[in-house]
Amino acid sequence: MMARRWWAELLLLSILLVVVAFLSMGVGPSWISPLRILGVRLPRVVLGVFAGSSLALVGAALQGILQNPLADPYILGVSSGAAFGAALAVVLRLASSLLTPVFGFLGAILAIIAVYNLAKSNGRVPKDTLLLSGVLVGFFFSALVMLLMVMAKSELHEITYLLMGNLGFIFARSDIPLFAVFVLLVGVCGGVIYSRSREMNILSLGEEGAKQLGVETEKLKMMVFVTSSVVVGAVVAFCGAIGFVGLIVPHITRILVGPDHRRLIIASILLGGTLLLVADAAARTIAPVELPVGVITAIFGVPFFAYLLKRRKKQFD
Amino acid sequence: MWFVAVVLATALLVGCSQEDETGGESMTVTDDRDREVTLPRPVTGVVSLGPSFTEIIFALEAEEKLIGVTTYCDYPEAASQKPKVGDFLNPSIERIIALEPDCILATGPTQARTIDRLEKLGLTVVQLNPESITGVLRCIRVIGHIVGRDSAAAALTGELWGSVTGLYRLTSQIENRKRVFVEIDTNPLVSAGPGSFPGELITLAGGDNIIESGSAYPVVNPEEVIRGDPEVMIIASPAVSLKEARERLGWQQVSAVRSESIRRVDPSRISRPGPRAVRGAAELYELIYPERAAQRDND
Repeated sequence: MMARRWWAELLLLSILLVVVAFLSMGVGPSWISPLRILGVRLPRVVLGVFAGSSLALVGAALQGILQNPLADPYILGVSSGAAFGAALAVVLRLASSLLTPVFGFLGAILAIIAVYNLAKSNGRVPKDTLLLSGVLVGFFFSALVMLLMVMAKSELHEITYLLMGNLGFIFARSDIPLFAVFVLLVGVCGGVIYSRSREMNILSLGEEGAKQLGVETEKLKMMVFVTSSVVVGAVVAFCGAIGFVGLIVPHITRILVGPDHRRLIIASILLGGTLLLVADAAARTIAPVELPVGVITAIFGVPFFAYLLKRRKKQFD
Repeated sequence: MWFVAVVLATALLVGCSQEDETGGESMTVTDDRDREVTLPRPVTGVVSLGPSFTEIIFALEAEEKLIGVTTYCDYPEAASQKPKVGDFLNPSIERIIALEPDCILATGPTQARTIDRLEKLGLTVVQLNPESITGVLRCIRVIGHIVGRDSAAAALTGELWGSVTGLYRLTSQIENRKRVFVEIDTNPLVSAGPGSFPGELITLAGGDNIIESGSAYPVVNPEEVIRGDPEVMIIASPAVSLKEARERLGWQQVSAVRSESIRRVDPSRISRPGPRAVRGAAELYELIYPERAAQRDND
């Protein structure tokens, strides 16, 4: 019975994603024939699905291993590292759109190494230490970004958009190989995370209990942390730090399909892509200027999530 | 035609050149807030809080009076030798005070807070907002008066006005104006609207700006570029190479991309309102109409 309901939900979410992807290709700031504009909108929709799905996946995984409902893809400082790398490329005025994502990803790797080494002691990684190290490294890189913003001149605008997140990256043909590598990397990391969902389920019963049941909790946490961080680095490098999707989508999904990570992760991937596409369609159309999509996800996401929370509380009362 | 109005206004402004007074221990200038500012005569120490002002002071060869600049002031090269008082957005009040200037040149409304603080501390601020060609000419004359170089200012504005009217005569006859897109920034994509300084230069240079409304520097969706179908793209953004601009996905149908009419320009030459930018309009003309410019050179 449960299994059949899950397949129905899976089908529904998949159809929703495909439909929204199609519809969002017909939506833009001005009416032009969708065929004429396909070359611009299609890459943007691909980028939106890539970013939304990746962030929701990572959010679900990190909330699981940190056993913290506040965890989001950016809580472990990786996004600040990526933002710093990308901002550095912007300030250095490297005359190439390709180098910003490359620098962003290198910044993320730097942050991952820093957090990993800070959090590790005697081969163990207490989750509070991991959180604290992440926040610490995040603050450090945020300060570096602010330093760059003070030093920046006309690039200030670009860095601001990077921090708020937007899907307006203009793809040149020479950007495709790098993007393909990132997608592949995210796919592999996502696969690794998904393969650990059973162990994450056990971990959510408590760390001691999971150890007794034979789960190598330290290894699990490290593996999920590193793979998640690589995914976040790849996303932030291209789209900036789009907020809220990674925090909220796993919660919405949990309400829909329950806490089992095997379902939660897949459903989050589908719903994350869908929601970000909707938000981006709004970002492109509701104002005369194009808004950063991160602003939309937060402004519309918060009331929506508040509504879900309230309704759910009523159900349980 | 708006341009005729501008031409008239400028002719009036440039025509009534300020008197080259030599007597008296003080002078007053009217700044762009319509405020009469009293300055000592001669002014000995000027702090420039804008790269445009710095450029103008050097163009008037009054740089010995320039005692402080911002970190944005990178033209001419000698400007970077001057003491720095901070950047354009956040100049250090303390450093400015330490230089003991008798005149500070600032831009409103961007620097409104700085101006307010400086004036509360008893310093003399002249606010100038050179956001148009006529604004630049007026700015040159006011600064010329402040630094005691009225005749140099008159000569410079005369020369610049000559080049503007010369170019206008050339471009006003163009019947099929080429549609132009200026890329100021790449991620996000930012262009220059008709109300901006680069927008005015594009129009003067004979271009038809595809950005017709919005703020001075609007964030533009690439779709609007495809819809506007520019015949020439002027890239001022340092964040993209010409090769990448040619190879953008979905942009291949844009006329400028198809005809390979994508050209780069130094951003400070079109967005920094100073003498260089006014002369830069002629350069823009050559970028937009290379065939006409070549023909003119042959004639």
